[in-house]
This record gives sequence, structure tokens and C-alpha cells, in this order.
Amino acid sequence: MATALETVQEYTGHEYKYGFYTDIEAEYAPKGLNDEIIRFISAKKSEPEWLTEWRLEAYRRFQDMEQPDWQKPNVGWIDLQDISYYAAPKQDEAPQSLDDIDPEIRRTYEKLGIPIEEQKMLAGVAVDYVFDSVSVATTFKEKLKELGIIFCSISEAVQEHPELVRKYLGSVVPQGDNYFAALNSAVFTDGSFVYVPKGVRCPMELSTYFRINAAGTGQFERTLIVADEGSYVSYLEGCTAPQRDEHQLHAAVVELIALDDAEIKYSTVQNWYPGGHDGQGGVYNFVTKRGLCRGKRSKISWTQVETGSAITWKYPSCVLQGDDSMGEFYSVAVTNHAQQADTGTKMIHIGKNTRSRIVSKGISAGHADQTYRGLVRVLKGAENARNHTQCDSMLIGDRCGAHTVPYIETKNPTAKVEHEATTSKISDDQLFYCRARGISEEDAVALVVNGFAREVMDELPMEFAVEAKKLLAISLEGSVG
Amino acid sequence: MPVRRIEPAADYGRLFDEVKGRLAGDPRRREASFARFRELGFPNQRAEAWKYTSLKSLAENAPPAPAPVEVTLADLEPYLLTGDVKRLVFVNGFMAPELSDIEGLPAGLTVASFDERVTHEGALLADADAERSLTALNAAMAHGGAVVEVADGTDVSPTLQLVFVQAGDAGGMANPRNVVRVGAGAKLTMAETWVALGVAGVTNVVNDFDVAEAGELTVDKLQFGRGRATLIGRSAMRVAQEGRLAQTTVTAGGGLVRNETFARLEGPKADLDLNGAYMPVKGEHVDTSIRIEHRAPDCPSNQFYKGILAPGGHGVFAGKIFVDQVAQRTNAYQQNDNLMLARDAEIDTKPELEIYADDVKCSHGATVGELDDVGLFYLRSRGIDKETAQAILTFAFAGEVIERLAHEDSRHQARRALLARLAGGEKLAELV
Amino acid sequence: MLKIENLHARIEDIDEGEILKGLDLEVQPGEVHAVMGPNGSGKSTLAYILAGRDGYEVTEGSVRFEGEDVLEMEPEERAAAGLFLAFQYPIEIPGVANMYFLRTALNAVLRARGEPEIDAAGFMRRLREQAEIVGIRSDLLKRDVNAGFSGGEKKRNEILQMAVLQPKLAVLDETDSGLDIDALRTVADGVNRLRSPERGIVVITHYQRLLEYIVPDHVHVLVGGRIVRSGDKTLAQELESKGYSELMAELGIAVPADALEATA
Repeated sequence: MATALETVQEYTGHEYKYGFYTDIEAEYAPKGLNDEIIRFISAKKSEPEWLTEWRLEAYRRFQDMEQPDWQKPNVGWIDLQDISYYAAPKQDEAPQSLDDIDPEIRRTYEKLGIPIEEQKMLAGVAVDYVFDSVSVATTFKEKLKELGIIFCSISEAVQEHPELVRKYLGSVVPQGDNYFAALNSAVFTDGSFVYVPKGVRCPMELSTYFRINAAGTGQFERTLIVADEGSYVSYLEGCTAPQRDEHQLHAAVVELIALDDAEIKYSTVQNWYPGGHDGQGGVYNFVTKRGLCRGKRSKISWTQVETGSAITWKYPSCVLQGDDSMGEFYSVAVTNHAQQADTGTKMIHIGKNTRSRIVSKGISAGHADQTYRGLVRVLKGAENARNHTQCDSMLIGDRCGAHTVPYIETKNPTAKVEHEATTSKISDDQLFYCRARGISEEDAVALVVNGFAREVMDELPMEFAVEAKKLLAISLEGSVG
Repeated sequence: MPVRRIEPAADYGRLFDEVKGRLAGDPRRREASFARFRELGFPNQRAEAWKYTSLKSLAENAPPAPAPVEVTLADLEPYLLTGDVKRLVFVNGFMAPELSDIEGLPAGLTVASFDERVTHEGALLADADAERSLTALNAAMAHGGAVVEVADGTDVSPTLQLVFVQAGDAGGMANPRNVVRVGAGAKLTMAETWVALGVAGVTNVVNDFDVAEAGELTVDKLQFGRGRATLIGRSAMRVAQEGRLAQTTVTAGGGLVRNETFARLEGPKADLDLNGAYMPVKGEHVDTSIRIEHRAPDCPSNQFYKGILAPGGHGVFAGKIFVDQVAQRTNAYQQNDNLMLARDAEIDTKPELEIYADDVKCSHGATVGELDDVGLFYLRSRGIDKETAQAILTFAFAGEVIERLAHEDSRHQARRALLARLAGGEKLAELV
Repeated sequence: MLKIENLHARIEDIDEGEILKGLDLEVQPGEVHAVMGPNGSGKSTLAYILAGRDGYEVTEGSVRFEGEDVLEMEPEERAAAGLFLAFQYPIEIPGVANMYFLRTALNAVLRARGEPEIDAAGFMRRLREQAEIVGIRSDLLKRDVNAGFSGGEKKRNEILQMAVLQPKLAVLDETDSGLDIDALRTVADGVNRLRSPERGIVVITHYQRLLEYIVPDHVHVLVGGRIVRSGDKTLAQELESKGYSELMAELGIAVPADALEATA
């Protein structure tokens, strides 16, 4: 009888299906990182003087920092001078409507299964399409505008809504927060901007689709979402990149701000190119994501399904400043072959009666290594703070690793913090039981893994849930050797 | 690379010069260890293992050289085990024969002072952890401590108590080193007691525990500090196939207490059981740092630690389970529960797993909270006043660990120390 | 001895309005009162308020025990005054031996009454005697309070505590829940032995079953936070045959359907 391992081995040969490259004329900045390049990017985007200065200040701080080495994955030193910090499809002038978009780019998104259209399968989702360093299209903008919701690229927001951008940019992740965030602050090229006005419940999912296409570049997007008092927004993020033999750096910054009674739900399905089976190529996904529950009774919820990237290194976090605010983190991370992930969250309890919940499900196969790293910090004034953390790892095969590194720091006696973690393997008994009921082996693996991850998958918006489920199964194909 | 060291104060050179004349063993070896220590420096808080504990004050102010101080048996009486017990007492690192009793040891048990043995066996100073500066410091100045050997197949009946006394308020630094080797199929129960009679001083102890095939070592580790008295201890443990090592630590007092355990399960079915209770009060900092390595299949390991944080107390727990790829069917459990009795207390806990084998059962949990409201209400509804009810529940909370101490007197001492630290504890005196 | 007047109460921090809405109840020494009601009628709230559990807010009315204002007293003061609650869900306290717990409680109560404390030997005699009566095995006395006890053992342990503490007024909150018929009999026997002309007992229950064994002098029906009907023991039988819904219908009281689910 085949064991679970053999079963998984049997259906190897799946390849990264988003690995194609779009041959399109692009404009690059010369490789290297210096004041000139930063001024070049800023000028390219016709930015106001304050933003140019803001970037240069970030760069000054960055120069005083060193690449961190505390994480589990062995990254090695990354030569940031060998990267081009700007790549954009060449266009004579900005497209005036969705119809003016370069047909090659249009075809790219069609191949990725997310056509740039306002009808059909994505009728309920507004999408901002980011291609390398620039946003190429945003759908449903007008419809959202009627409700006062601003959804556009951050470059556009800098032009159209400078007061909002200036007020909130860097207010959650300051320029000098960490090495990669400082880098991002200096060279970010595009990303999405969302503002939901007071009392408005955004009627559709907002989404950004990030595509790295060009070679020798990094992607440094910046996303800023502000939910004003009593508003609600659900935002989805998806990502892919072509298959290349060199590593590509993706160092994004995402800032969320929720005011009184506001709620932001942020979901990610991350499927960057994971690299070859032996670790050649793949995206380095080093992202700083942080939400600030600034208002009373505000809520920020992160849900992530991480299946891609050669190395993932990110901790979507919540700063629970407002009294009675709430933070959530739901994560499924799958690492296979030579992938490495060091991911988790930070919950910083500042306000009274703040609550946080962490559910992390890690699945590791092949030679992959995965780490959950989390921090729950309860400050002195956080009366009655509550946290519950559940952190489960599943290992498939005996050459992978699963690690759990939770930090709990408490300074308030009324706080209640609970952390639980388990590690287990995919069980032959479970697989056999499924087969005895007529389920094929490959379906059984998918079934067991999906069952293991279910608590998190249930948190995903409908539009993404089906896709994410498939992605889990695909990511584990050929998982063990 | 960020800087993760603190330059030791120049006075450490003077300290070394002052003590080296009386150190036993190869002087070149001592010099080399001291050079290694200077090179490594003290870890700062950017070093992950020292994230929550600062050695800045120790690094910047070298303690004076230790001096012998007169201590009587009456001073130690509350900390000594009674009954069938053999005992070695060290005061500020100096062996105190008049307080010790190792006459008539049973056959198969040898107990010698470290200084006596190291003269002939330089290898006793070998650094198991070449990267640890405090071990290098200990290797440079090791003085005092015991070398205990149990011959294969010997079941030692008396409990062996090693007592390390920090006496006087001069604040000297002692660097004892203990080596315990339990032979195949042999059995030993011991107690390692640290007592600070003075309010200052530093003990930097390094233990080396080795349990051979099917051997069994049980250790009660009792720590009674006071004032600013500092204890930094490192125990390296190795357990061979089907061997068993069980240790229960109770920390009651000390300005800074750091208990490090680095254990390796080296043969199949080796068993390790680590328990601990810590109860820092105002101005006290107690840090427990554990790394258990499962290097062979079928080994169980257990960590069960409880913290009681009184006002102004700071507790730290960092326990790591490492499971090697070959260590299939590992069964590792880790639990750290903390009770916060008041404001101005702090607990930092980090239960960690690092796993490279798939057929394992590893789980850990950590909790931080107040006393259970419902339990308190239940006791009060039976007529027990609030303070007593709190004391009873707190006592019961720690009791689960204290009960695991091997010697009855150890349990007695631990209970007494706990109650002395609890508001309303005097009402529960009969529980001791 | 117990006088509850116009008691209104709600759960703190929950905006669900009042659970008790004007409850009146008077108990005299020697009487056994049964308070019966469907789920959600406020039975357990009443029990907890009498014992002084946090989390309940009395918005109106008063509770007096032998003339004293109970609501102003701490839980342990109520116990010392002679008020006892047998919990519906007795609490497990790992690490605290049952025997030690009982002796500490008894001595606390004795001290508060200005009576001499009982010595260890005297206590053991009293405990063993009572334990035999309520059918508690002696090994349960040595174990930790309720930890690892079966449902029946926990309930018997409650009755044992009552026997040892000898309260003036005992409130038994759903002591019958989760008991099989044999355990129910043992528990009821224990309670009956504690009936005396000086002692009041309030039995809170959903079913009439327990009342076959502990025969009440008075029966009250609690619905929607109020006593809607009082009578003698025949009321319990009437309730058993009709069910809550029919009785309510007769009384012209609307009751949410879900409150009656488990009454059939």
C-alpha cells in the first residue's frame, strides 16, 4: 500500500502555471540605489517636493541600517545596488480609459485569469492592476466614487488627494521602521490607495493584483488603506511573477488605519514564483504589513494564504490602540521543495479591552522550512486585554522543518493570554480511511490538508476561497522526495 | 551584523589576576579561557538568548574576588536536607569541610572537590559551549564545586546535597563547577541548593550532567536568594539510551537569577523531565532558558514551568524543543503558565519548537493570566476570605510543580519559601 | 429568614435587559421551597445573586437574610452568615486537597461566628461521619477539590460541604442535573437528613423529579424573571403533567418557544 509520501510523490511534475513572461517594451531605471535614482522615480511620478524629501529622508535612515539576520531563513546578503528600482511598460501617455490599455498587458491578465473588465467573473470585485512598478488599470472607480470611496493607485492619490496621503503615509510604518521598510519608503513605485468615508460600507471587494514581469527588478509597492469612522472595507491582494533563475526582491509596505468603529478585512493570496525544486530563482517576499486600530471598537483582520515565493518573511500586525479594538490574524502557509517561510504576526495591545486572535496553520513538505514567529505584547494600560493563539504545524515527509517561535510579553495583570501549538504529520490512517470510502489518494491529501487549514480558509472572501483551496492542493503536488 | 556583545569592564582583568594564584589545574588553560571570555564579551540584549535579561550592570562592574566567610550549620539549617543525606558545602566557592558530611559514602559513589580533581584532569574544564562567554569566564576562574561519579549499576541510597552559599555583603564572585556522571543502570538523587545569606555577590556556576545507558539522575534545584544576590547557572545535560534525568527547580529570591539548561537526548528512549516554579517579587528578575535537543528516536521530554509574578517581579521563560531529523517518534511537551498577581509585574515567555522530523508529537502551551475568578468565588462562597482564597489558589498553582521535588524536605522548604512570599501566606502555615 | 422583594437584576456588560424582573420570595426556618422554571427563566441568576457572584447587577429590590442586607455582603460574609449555595457546576481546583479546603472553609466560618475553631482530629471525625452519610468515598476527600470527579461525585461533594458547614439556609442550584437515579437518591437522602426546624432550603430545579425525593413545602414557578405562580407540592405535579407551556397558556403568559424546548 502506498504511503502518504509516495502518494504525494506520484503526482509530481506540476509546474508553476503563472511563470510566463510578457514581451513588452519597458522603460527601466539604471541599476543601483542612490539619491539620483530616488529623485528620478519621484520625478517620473511628478511628485510634490514633500514626498521627494520624505523618500530621501527614508534613504538616509536606510543607509544607517544593516540587513537583518535574526530570521530563520538563510537569505544571504542581497546586493541592493544590482537591482533596477523602476520598470514600467512604455506608453506615450496614460490610458484615458480601460479600452486604451496595451493589448499585451490585457492579454497577460487574461492568461492570469483576471481579465481587465468590469463584467464577467469579477463583477463583484474592483481591481487595481499593478504591472511591475506601475498601476496599469483600476476598475469600478467611478462606481465607487459615487459612494465617496477612493480606490486608485497610490501615484494617482498623491496627485488627486495629497492631503490624505500626506496625513497617513508612514503613520503606521514609519520610514525608518526596519531595513526593508526604509528601502520601500525610499523607492516605492506604485500600489493601491483606499479611503472609505465615514459610515460607508464598501459594497464590493477591492483588490490589487501585483505582477512582476521585468527581469532584474524588484517590486516595491506601497498600499495605504484608511477606513474612516464606522466604515467597512474588504480588500484582497493577489500576486504572481514569471519563472526566472535569479531571485527577485519584493519589498512592499502595507499600512492600514481603522478609525472609531471601522473595520478592515485584508486578505492575501500570495503565489509569487517559488523558485525551482532545488532553490534556484524565486521571489524574496519581504513585506512589512501593519494595521493600526486607532479608533475605539475598530477591527482589523488579516487573512493570508501563502503558497509562493522562495523566501517569505512577513508579519502582518495589529496595533490595538483604540479601546475595545480587535485584531485578527489567520494564516495558512504552505512551503514545499526548497521554499522557506518565516511568517506570523504581532499583536500590540495598548487600549483597554483590546482583543486579538491568532490562528496559524503551517504545512511543510519537501526540503522546505517554515517558521511561525509571533509577538503578543500587552502594555501596562491594556486592562482586560485578551489574546488567544492557536498555531498548528503539519509536516509531510521527514526532510522538512516546522518551527514555532512565539513571544509573549505582558505587563498588565488583568490580561489573559493563551498560546497553544501542536505539530503533527499527515497521517497514513486518515488517508487510508478516505480511500476506504472511495476517495482517491490525491484527493485525500488535499482533503486532509484543507481540513487542517479550514479554520483559516473559512475567513477568506468567497471570491478567493475556491482559488485558494486549489492553490493549496497544487502547491503540495510532488511535495516530498 | 549588529553588535551583540558588551565589552567587559577592565576590572575583570584585575579580578582574574587576583584569583588566578589559587586556581588549580593548568594555568595556560586558565589564561586561554580568560582570553576567550574577553574576546566574546558579555552578551547584550540583541543576542536572542538574552533578549529579556540585561547583564549590563554585571559587565560594567566586575565583582570583587571572593573571600571565605565564616558560616555556621545553624545559618544553613533551614536549607539542609535531613535523613539519609550526604552533603558538600561551598561558601563563596570555598569548600567548607566543617559544614560538609561525606563520610562513609556507599560503595560505587565517589564525591571529590572539583579543585582536587582538576589538578590531574585538565579536561574537566573543557567548554561544552565554546561560544558562551559566561562558561569561558567560569572555565577561567572555576574554583569549588564537586565531581560526583556513580559506578555502573549502583543504586545510591543517600541523597547527595550540594550547597552553594553566598555569604557576606562584600559581593564577591564565585565560579563553581560541578561534574556529575551517572553510570549505566546507576541511580542517584541529588539536591543543588543555592543560598544567599548576604544581599550581594555573584555565583556563576557551570554544571555538567551525564547519564549513561539506563542510568537515572534526579535533581532538586532549590534557590534561595535575597537582595541583589545574583545567580547565573548553566547545566549541560546528556542522557544516553533509556537513561532518565528529572530536575525540578524552585526559585525563591535573587536580584538576578538565570537558569540555563542545555540538554541532549542522545540515545533512543532517553527521557528528560524538567519542572520549575519561579516567584519573583519586587526588584527580582528570574530567567529560565532551556534548550532540549532530541538527537535520537523515541525519546520523551517534558517541560512544566510555572511563574508567579508578584508586584515588581519580572519573569522570563524561553524554552526550546529541537527535534533532529533522526528523532522520529519524539514525544515532547512543554507548558509554561504564569500567574500575574499585580500591577508592575512583567512576564515574557517564549515557548519555542524547532522540528525536523515528521513523525513526532510536539505540543506546547503558554498562558498568562490572573487567578481564576470562578475559583475565587467558589472559595469565598464557602466562607474563606479573599486574601486567604487568593493565597490558597496561588499555592495550589505552584503546588503542581513543588510536588515534583524528590525529597520531602525540598518540598517543605519550597512551600515555606512560597508562603513567605505570598500575601496572606502566613495563614496557610499548616500546608508547609 | 430570607426575604427577597421586587428583585430586578441584569448581567453586567451585556445589553440584554433584565433577567430578574421583580422577584419576590420569602423563606421561613424549617421550610423547603422549590423554585421551578424553564431554561432562561432566571433560576441560576437568582442562585448566583444570593451567593454574591460578580457580574450581576441588581437594579432594583432587596434581599434580606435574617434582617441583614445580603447584597452589601462579600461572598465569604454570606457564607459566614449561614448562606450556602450548592453549585450547578462545581468548580475544579487542582492542587487544593478537598479535605484541606473544607477545613479551611469550616474554620473561617466558625471564626466569623466567634466560635472556636475545630482541631484536625475533631474535623476528621465530623468529616468522615458526614461523608458516609452522603456516600462520598474517603479517597475523594484526599483528592483535589472536584478535580477528576464524576458528575455525581461533584454533586455529592457539594452536599458534603453543606453537611460540614451546617448552613442556616441552603440554596441548591439544579443539583439534580446530570445525575442518574441512584445518585439522585443519594443526594436527596443527604439533603433530607439536613432538613431541620431551624434550616431553610431552596431547591432550584427544572424538573419535578428531584421533588419526589425532596418533598417541598412550597413550590414557585419562575418564568421570565418573575414568580408567576406559587402553591404547595401539588403544583409541581401539575407542572409535570401539563408542562410549562400549558401552564403558561392558562396564566396568559407568552413564553418564547426556545425557553420551553427542554421541558417536554
